[in-house]
Amino acid sequence: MGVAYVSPWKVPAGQNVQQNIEELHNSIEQLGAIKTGLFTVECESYHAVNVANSKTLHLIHSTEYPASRFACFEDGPSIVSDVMLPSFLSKLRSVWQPRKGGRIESKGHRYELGDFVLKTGIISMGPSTKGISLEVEYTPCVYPCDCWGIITELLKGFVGENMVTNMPTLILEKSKEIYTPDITMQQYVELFSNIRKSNLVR
Amino acid sequence: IMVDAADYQPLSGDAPVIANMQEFFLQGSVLDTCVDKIHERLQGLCDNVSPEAFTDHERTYVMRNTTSNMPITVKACQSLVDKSAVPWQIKYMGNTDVGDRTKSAMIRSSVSVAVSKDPSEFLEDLGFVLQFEVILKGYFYRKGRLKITVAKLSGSIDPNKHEAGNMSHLIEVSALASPLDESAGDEVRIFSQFLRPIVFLDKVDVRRLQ
Repeated sequence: MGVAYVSPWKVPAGQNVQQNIEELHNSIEQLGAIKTGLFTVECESYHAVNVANSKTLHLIHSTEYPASRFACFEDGPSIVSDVMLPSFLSKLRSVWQPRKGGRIESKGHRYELGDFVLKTGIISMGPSTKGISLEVEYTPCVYPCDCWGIITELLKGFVGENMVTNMPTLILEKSKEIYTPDITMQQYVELFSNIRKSNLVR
Repeated sequence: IMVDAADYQPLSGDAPVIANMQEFFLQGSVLDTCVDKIHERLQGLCDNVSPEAFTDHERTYVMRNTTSNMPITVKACQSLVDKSAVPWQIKYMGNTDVGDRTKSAMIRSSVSVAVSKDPSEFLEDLGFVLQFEVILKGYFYRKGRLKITVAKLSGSIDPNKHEAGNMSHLIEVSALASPLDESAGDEVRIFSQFLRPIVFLDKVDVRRLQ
């Protein structure tokens, strides 16, 4: 386990997601990465039905951490638990219920390149595809401030020089602390929320 | 009390599996003066391992603002003995069904989730309010799928703070099983009978406690 950076992968206008992800796979494979399997990160959102302006609760399941579940409130506390959390939430169903159309997931391939783990996923809400996510994890290091450079260097290798290299807020806040997997999940939640928002605009 | 939930079923990724585990249980109490007799008897009856000492800080939370008008109770439990080894647990406790005379034990729905850190903030954001907290200190025995606890309740961690009137230990015998499994309730009752006459474990009419 190391430090992971999750970013959306911009699909150029006019290209479809499938072609774009194939190109991305090719770039990664050209670097020498080996395909090691599949991954899925799913996010189910809940809200309190009898409360006005209820906070949203996101429940995340990642195949990378199969015995855990991650729960976080939008701008609120987060918690990591075992697999019983959804059953627990279902007991609260008289108050907390899944949001309609709230399920969003990123599903795709997992690659290993030396000390890096790369995950390219197609983001979808139900049957419709919404975009591509890219996760780069540098496994030997647990302090983001120490390995941000090498992560961005790898990304520039196949994204190009004009990629954004500022540390996202979620990582920046705790860059000198030991990185934990729930920060990765929060990055996915942020990514999924942005997609939902842009979905509403259209 | 820290207990591993029975066989985790990894989620399939589809709709959440509703693990409908029920806890079949009976409770009773003994005066502190007689608690050693209980320990002796339990050592003889239970599985051949040393009884496990536990000290748990248990906080009970309640959510009242529910559409069904029934309050939801959840307990947040932390072991004070070995904080690094045993995680915090949140335990949903369904309403206790005392049942009719044909049912051997009290039944309640139970879901236990191990969590990474103190869940108070998380529970409060879910809408729960702290109702009360207790420290439970005692021993934990097992016999097959039965779980037996002999514990002293107190309101504070400080051992010097003596509580007037609290001169007994709470005994509870329970088993986790599916609601269709009546044998669990019978097992609890039969085992409880072995503890007589030191302690009489029985159903407690929760309505009389309100």
